[in-house]
Amino acid sequence: MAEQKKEEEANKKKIAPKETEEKLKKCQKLKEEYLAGWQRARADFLNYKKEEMERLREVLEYGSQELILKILPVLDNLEKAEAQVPLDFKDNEWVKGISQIRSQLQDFLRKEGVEEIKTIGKKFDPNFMEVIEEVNLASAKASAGEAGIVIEEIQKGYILNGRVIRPARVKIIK
Amino acid sequence: MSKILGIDLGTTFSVMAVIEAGEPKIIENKEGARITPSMVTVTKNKERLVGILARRQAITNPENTIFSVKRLIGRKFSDPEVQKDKKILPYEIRETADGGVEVKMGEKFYKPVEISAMILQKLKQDAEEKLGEKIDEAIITCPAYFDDSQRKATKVAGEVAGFKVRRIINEPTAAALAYGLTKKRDHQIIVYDFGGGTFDISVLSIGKDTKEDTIEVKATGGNTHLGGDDFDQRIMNWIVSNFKKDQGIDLSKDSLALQRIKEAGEKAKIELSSSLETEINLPFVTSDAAGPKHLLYKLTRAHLENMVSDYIEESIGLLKKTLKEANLKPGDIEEIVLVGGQTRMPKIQEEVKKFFGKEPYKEVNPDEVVAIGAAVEAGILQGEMKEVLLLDVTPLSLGIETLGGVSTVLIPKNTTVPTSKTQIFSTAADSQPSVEIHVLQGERSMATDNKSLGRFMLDGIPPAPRGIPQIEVSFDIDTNGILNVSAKDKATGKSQSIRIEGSCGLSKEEVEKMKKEAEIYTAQDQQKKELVEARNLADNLIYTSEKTLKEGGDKISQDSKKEIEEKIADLKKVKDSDNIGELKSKTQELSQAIQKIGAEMYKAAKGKKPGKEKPEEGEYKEKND
Repeated sequence: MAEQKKEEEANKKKIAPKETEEKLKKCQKLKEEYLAGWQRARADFLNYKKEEMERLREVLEYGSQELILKILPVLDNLEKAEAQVPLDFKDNEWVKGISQIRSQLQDFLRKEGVEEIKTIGKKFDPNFMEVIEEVNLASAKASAGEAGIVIEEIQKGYILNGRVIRPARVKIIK
Repeated sequence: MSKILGIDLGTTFSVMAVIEAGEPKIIENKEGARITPSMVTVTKNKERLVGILARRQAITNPENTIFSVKRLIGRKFSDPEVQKDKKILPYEIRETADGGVEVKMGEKFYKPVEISAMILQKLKQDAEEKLGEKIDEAIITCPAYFDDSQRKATKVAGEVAGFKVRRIINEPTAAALAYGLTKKRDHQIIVYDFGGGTFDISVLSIGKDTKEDTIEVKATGGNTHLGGDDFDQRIMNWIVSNFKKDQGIDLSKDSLALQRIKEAGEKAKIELSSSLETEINLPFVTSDAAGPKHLLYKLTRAHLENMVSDYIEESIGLLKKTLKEANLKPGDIEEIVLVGGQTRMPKIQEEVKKFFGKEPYKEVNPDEVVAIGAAVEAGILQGEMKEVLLLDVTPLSLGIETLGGVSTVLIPKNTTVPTSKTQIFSTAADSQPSVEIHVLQGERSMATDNKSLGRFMLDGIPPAPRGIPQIEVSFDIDTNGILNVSAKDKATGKSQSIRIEGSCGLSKEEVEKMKKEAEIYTAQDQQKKELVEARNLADNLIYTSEKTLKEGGDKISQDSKKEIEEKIADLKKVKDSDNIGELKSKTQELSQAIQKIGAEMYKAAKGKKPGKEKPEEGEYKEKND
């Protein structure tokens, strides 16, 4: 009897390490899974933080973009008004005063980092311009020119900190 | 594990999104925009442009600028839709040998699949650049009415673009996914999608045993040639005809003026979704022999609604028809989802709500909701939303009771757990020996209206004037929702704590009930809180005034002293009444009177010679002893 017991105990001991080993394996697998999950969450968080910082920087840099885009039509209209001042009013002091207001607004925009896109005489580039009309060379004012060259600007385009916030609207030679 | 891109490949615009840190996020394209025009061109210099750049040159190159290709993809040339679109679209469309469709761009003919692939390829490149990693897999959406051939073509387009297309899912299903509506079982959803150029209705049915990816589309309807652009056109026509009436000039022949009018009209439409009136202001719109002409009209929301009422009626009529085809009544629909920019129009939201007698889902940006849904599906496939990592949020706010029975929140509702928060509190009376920490749960302003989770005392606080002791109260909730609240006197280091299990263990009904109550009583609670705060302020002022009189009373005139004493008595009288107006005015009076003393004391001090200042301090000390 005693021997049988001993044998059983010995068997138990033999089984026990196996069970423990399996348990350990399971635990290790879980541990790895959890650690990976934890690391991922941590990494996600750090990345998120970095992205937020980047976003914040962008917000600061381009935060004024929405506002500037809303101000631009006012400048467009002032420029339109100026372009249509009748000849005999050209030297009128009152008209000059309005021009001065226009240049004040332009100065403000320049200081905010807004740059005008140069177009006249350049080749059409969809990165900065939008075509409104193609003009036949015969009817064009330009004496000579290559197809695709901008001959008239309908609406100015602007760049803010290197990004096109509004493309220029242009007429090009057909 | 690389990310799966969710793509809403639209007729006019495409949008893309990914799951990042468990949340769907729209990816901007290279040009910095959240939406990309579904447009491709080959310029005269044989350069291929996709998106906004293609659009900018469209006028010079209409016959080579391909848009709305989604209307053609996977269709036969003989399809009546193709025949209809062939008349409208400015580029050349012809039949292929096998009866399919080809479009001409540059000198070559392309299949619609190839054009769509070019759009998808741009999205892929831009997303990779933006995210800084390679993206190989995508989920692309398509309309619910797309047949097998159209779906297959969409998939092929994705593959040509270099994606492994994990799934093609229905746009309405994606919209429902974005709102998490597909988790519920046994219910019907309507998706009302009013985009720029198309109007789609889909009835989704989720059965008892439906799996996420086998949501049945019970019926579809709509009008493939009705959209927000039609609304813009109406506004344009209105402006042009008004101007003709007022000025006798027909602007419809003036392409430059028309361009400005179109933009101003669209802007007005957008503004009228949030305001009741807007101005269409175009100075120097044209000129005649008499000089420049200006355009200035006011447009009200009611007028706009009137202008497009037939379009809205048509959409509701189509809604009725589609429901009938699905054998459903408006009452059978559990949820309504709004998709497409035009659904921002309040009148449309109102009409849809009226039709179903239910508030539609509209919180997610209607231009982006489909792409968001595609990303959610991607997240499910990626296993990013793993069960273990699903973190709970606190359903209701947790806090403690503070002076006057106010409930002060430490952890607001919807905070993701595990989390902890620490805040310093103090005593309300001089030499207060202990504080009671009463832990509360709920959204109401007053402690008695919230649920009490437990309370404990922290005693042994050394005698000190009110407001001086620092009692640090910490809340900590672990992942299992077990809340530990501790309070520590920073002077003695003595602390007490309580452990509350199941602080999040309220049933859904209970939580909803408490939230509803809070909403109903918001105004009332605010009043109560305001009263308590005013009372606390009065109490504080009485305390400091009495202290000032006690300490500096001999430095001011008897009259001033008497005045303040009277004012203190007045305030004490009204302090416990519910008349907040009186309470505030009496507080104000005392506050002004006490400020005068300050000035008087200052003057008195200035009047004395500097040398006399020392003994004064001595007096002060004596008095204090």
